[in-house]
Amino acid sequence: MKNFMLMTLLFSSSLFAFEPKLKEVQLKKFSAAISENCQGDCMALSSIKELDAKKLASIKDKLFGGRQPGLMLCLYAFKASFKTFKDQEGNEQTYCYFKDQSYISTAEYDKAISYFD
Amino acid sequence: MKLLLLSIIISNYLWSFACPNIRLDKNFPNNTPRNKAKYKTMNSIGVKNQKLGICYAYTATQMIDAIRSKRLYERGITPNNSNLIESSPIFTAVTTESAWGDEELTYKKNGDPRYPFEGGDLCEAFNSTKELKACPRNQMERLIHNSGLNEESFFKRLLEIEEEMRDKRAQVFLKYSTQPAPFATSTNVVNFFENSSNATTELKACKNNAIHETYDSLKDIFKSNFTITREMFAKYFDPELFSDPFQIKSILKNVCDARITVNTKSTCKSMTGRDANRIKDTKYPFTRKILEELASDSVPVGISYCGYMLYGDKNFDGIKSRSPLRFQKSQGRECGAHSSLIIGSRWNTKTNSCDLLVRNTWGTGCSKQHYPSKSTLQKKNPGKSISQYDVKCEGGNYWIDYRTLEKNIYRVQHL
Repeated sequence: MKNFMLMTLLFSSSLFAFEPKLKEVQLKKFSAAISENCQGDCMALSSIKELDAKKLASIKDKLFGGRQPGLMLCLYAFKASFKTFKDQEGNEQTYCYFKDQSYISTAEYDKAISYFD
Repeated sequence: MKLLLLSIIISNYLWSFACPNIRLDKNFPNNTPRNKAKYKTMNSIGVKNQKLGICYAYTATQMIDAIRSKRLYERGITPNNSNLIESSPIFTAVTTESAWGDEELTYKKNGDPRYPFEGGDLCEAFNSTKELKACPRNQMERLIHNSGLNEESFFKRLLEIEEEMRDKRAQVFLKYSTQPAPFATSTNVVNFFENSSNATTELKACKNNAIHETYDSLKDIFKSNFTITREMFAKYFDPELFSDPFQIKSILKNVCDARITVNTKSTCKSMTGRDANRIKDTKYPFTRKILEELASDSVPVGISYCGYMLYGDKNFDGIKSRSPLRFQKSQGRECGAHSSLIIGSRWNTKTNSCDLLVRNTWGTGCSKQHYPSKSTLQKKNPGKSISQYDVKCEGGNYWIDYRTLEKNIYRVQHL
């Protein structure tokens, strides 16, 4: 029984261990929430700054079956990986995770897209 | 002039009756207006963030969970995270026969994977899962987790096994068939095996080896969850294993053993563009259908629409023709076919218009320029009180004006 409980704990924590710690950064047109560990121009911050219509066009062929543009930008335009955070109410949010350990919500990319002309 | 004003007032008055204040996820702020939903069937169903292109399956499984939630309410039980186990969208996608289409595998080894079950029909996914029973999402996640892979690479590996199987099959064909290599097409290979009942011992052994190797590969992925015995596998998949398509669907049904009954007699039905075009007494046939369905049974309504509507302003119009279905391409931003749920409606007293609440599957954020959240508005207008009707985004749910929605919908799916 003890083993079972331990396994359950280990398993559940490994699945949903990621808990984002964020800070607000003011950009030209809007503010974005970026990981607290971001120092200077970390990769997460650079990614949102350099996101433009050209980058969006580069992932156009990936957007089938209702795939999320923000997540596709993360995976294919920025070649990063992602982690999912799930809160206690079961709401999910993916975060684009970079090599320097900085991260940003994929929803921030979605937000940036809405500012393109 | 007076007559025009009067007709506008009357029209708004009538609309306000047709657009009931309904929320299936929670009540309106401070219970104003009063929520007319009998049950809040989406209350314990969180906002999802899809990874693969299976929005149709996410939407179908949320509809399924809403029905299960309703059944709990009917029994006097308030649904919560522990008594309403989430259904797995990926299981629904993979086991929906029609989602696979007729095309051969489109996954490319060195390119970007496009899984054969990406893109599909919400109603077909719903009806298929209802018949088959849903798989608990945590069981599917555990399966994937135990394989040491993530969702994408898990299915990539399964599809690789399928490709390996095809290669093995083709090798057997080339060795024993009298036909030369260029004739090793899928149909010829399948015909060859189907007609090889008098096969030599060597050919049989070759087939057996291929089956056992595939069995080992699958056992390696699913580990202890793969409970089919080697003998059963060989019996079941011979000769099926040598037919197209590979039976990933059957395998998933086997490995997800604790399945969830979808307790409803209703089947999912579609209202298409052609159906909408036949309706002449309103310019908003889809909106009318959504509102009717939403008010009737506290179950969310599925929509197929242009996902780019969520980025564009209220004038965004992604559809050129509903029947035959053709999308606009001249706006720079294309339609982006997508499926979501409508989980609420409200009479917007600020705009004197009807808003519909779209539950998306792209996480808890929204494209905030056109659909601001309460916190965004508070930051912009410090100290000022914010009207609930100005809030267009609520944690992944979008309040959309019915006219914008109508311009971008091409199918409504309901029970």
